[in-house]
Amino acid sequence: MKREIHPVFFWLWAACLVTALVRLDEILFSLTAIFATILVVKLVGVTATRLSTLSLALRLAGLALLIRMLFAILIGVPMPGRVLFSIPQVNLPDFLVGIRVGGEVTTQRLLSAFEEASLFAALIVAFGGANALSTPSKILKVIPRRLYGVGVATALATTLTPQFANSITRVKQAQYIRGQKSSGWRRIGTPVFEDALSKSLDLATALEARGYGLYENPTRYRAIKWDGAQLVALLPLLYLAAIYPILILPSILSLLLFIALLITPVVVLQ
Amino acid sequence: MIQFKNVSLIYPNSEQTIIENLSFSLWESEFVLVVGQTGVGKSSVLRLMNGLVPHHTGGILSGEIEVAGRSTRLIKPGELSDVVGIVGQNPVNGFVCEIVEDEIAFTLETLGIAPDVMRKRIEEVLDLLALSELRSREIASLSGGEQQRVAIAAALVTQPKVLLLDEPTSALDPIAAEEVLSILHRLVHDLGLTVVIAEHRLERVIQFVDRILLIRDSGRAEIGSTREIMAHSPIAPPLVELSRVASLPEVALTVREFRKQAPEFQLPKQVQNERNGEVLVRIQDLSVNYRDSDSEFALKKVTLEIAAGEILAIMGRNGAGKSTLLKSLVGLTPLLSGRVLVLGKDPASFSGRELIKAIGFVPQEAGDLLIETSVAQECARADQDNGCTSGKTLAIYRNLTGDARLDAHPRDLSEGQKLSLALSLLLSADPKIIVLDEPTRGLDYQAKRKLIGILKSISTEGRAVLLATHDVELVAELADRVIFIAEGELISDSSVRAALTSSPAFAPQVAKAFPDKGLLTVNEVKEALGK
Repeated sequence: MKREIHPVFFWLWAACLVTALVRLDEILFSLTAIFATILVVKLVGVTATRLSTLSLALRLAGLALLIRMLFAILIGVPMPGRVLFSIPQVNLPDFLVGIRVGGEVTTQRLLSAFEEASLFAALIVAFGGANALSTPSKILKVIPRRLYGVGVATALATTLTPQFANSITRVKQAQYIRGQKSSGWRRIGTPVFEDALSKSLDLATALEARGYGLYENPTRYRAIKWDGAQLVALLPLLYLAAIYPILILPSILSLLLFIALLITPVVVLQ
Repeated sequence: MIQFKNVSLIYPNSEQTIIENLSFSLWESEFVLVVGQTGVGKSSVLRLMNGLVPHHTGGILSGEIEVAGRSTRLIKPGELSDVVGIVGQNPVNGFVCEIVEDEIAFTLETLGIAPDVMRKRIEEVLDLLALSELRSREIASLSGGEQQRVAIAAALVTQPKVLLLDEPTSALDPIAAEEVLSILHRLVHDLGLTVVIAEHRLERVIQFVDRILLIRDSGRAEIGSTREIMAHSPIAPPLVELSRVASLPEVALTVREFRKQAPEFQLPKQVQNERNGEVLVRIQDLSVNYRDSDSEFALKKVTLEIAAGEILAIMGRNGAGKSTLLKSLVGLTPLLSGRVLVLGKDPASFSGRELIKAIGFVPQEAGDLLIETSVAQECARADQDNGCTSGKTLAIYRNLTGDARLDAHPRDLSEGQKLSLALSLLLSADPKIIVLDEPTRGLDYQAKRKLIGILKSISTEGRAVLLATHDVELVAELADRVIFIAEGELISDSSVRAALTSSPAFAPQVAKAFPDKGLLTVNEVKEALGK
């Protein structure tokens, strides 16, 4: 299963998937998409650091879901349906007709909120998965030469993010060691930013010494190319994804697209 | 190859010249070591050689520097990247890519080398530094020694004539350091490369180098053959000090040279100092997992007791689990099985105040502990945090450092002063145990001697001192007991003498110079010789 896949492939795949999901707008499909993404990441087999970006996306998605549900319970427009439970209602001024804080929580209200939230979660996970499958720095390798400078700068920034997280942990531990249970922004912020600054200076020095940005025509080591199977698998889907927001077709087409998308990675990876 | 003519350097907003009227020439295929105390400008000299100073850092430069016939005054450092390769103090911070191969390709890409040529050169360099196996690994997953080799490969791939390295072995264990240095040695001899290296741990490098550039406090410098400089240098490795103590006619640079002319003497009776203080730390069958793995162990069934008044050194290769063990003492490591008891309690249950009264922990980056904008504020904050009388921390700091510039920003302190400040902050809470993780990174001999004195006096106050370190000479001078950890397992636990004389890789120079005599430090030899 070790086959070189074009770094853009999975990003396009995620984009198509999200397009289909938005059209379908069903809890079932959203959840399927989430599982499919996790499965594909497992199937491709990525390193631990890469995998952590997916788990971060999963956590983020979970958080989004949670917050949305919380708001669905607390605030919202009145909706019919079976009343599950009710919480005390706050009296709002008259001009805020139709909005209420607290009150009766119905199944309808919760379901529609969950549908929305699951779509949003699927979106986060799909792109989180794409990010885990091909690092931004890899994508930047295939962007046009004109944008090389921008590309490298972005790649550097994305490489530095984990380092930043790392130094936050370190400084938090240091605060703990000094007997501080809770640490304020300044206590964490000052050392972390100083650390980040000194690291950036080191990096800038290294770049300068290595002649970065000095020469007109940088070359590329091992350019990555699309291979036939990947293109064939993706092109029709792309076409479909591009035209179909305009078409007001029954969701049978979206369903087709969705199913095709689930199969594509398996075909390409084989 | 490199020529300095009357070079002086001064940084903006500084009153002292870093370098004063320095003139020397380095030839092709020379291995040159730059020595000097911390902060005298060793790094500046290296960076002058590829134009990073003053182009990148600022500063006023007078005189003329030529590298391979080009004046650094006129061109940018990047334009020298085909002649000079540089490996910085923390190569990790200078890495641009995630994968080994990409990182090595980076400079070639910016130079615009054709892909087929690039391919060939990368292959060559991978072979040269024995990195072929690691080519598609993530750099972050490599050990310190391997990362250092990647950094050297990335610098060598442009086929430069000069390679500059700033403290390449300071983060490495003795075995990895040996590996890196022997590669450098081979590069000098096989490829005719000129290598210039700045290093504090002279005992590791001195046998490899041809000449030494000694920079003194005043900014004055002298250059000469290793033997010439070592005959009178104030900074010297134990073996050179030993030669002086034994009044050898010629300074010995290698253990072999010393043994040939080693003096004969009677061994004094060795006093076994028995420590039977109260047990402060008890670790039983401790196992710890790696964060991302269920099957790999960071620590495997470690059992250990540490008593008051004891100085315990933890040694082992990079990534063996030393830091994990230390962190478990302050409850920062989630345990898989086993128990850790500090003063009879689980450290994870300590509240903030309880923790600092029990353990003072100096992390690898001592600077992490420092958050205020001046030394005085830092001390005042510690008084408040630790609940002690005002001025106590400052008094301790003064006691440790002698002089104390109170308005100095903690980040501007030297590594040694930073360490002293961090120690003072912790000591004012009067902890029973002091823990240090790699305290000697970036410390010169003088700062190290000071640290040894401080830690010894701390331990006589009935505290236990624990330190994880790669520095064999430090352990020889300081520790009572040594434990070795390999791949998470405790493989030996013995007195310092037994530990350091049994393994050649972890033996101090004195033990190598007098095999089977059981001597570890220059002072012991002095006593034995009756001086």
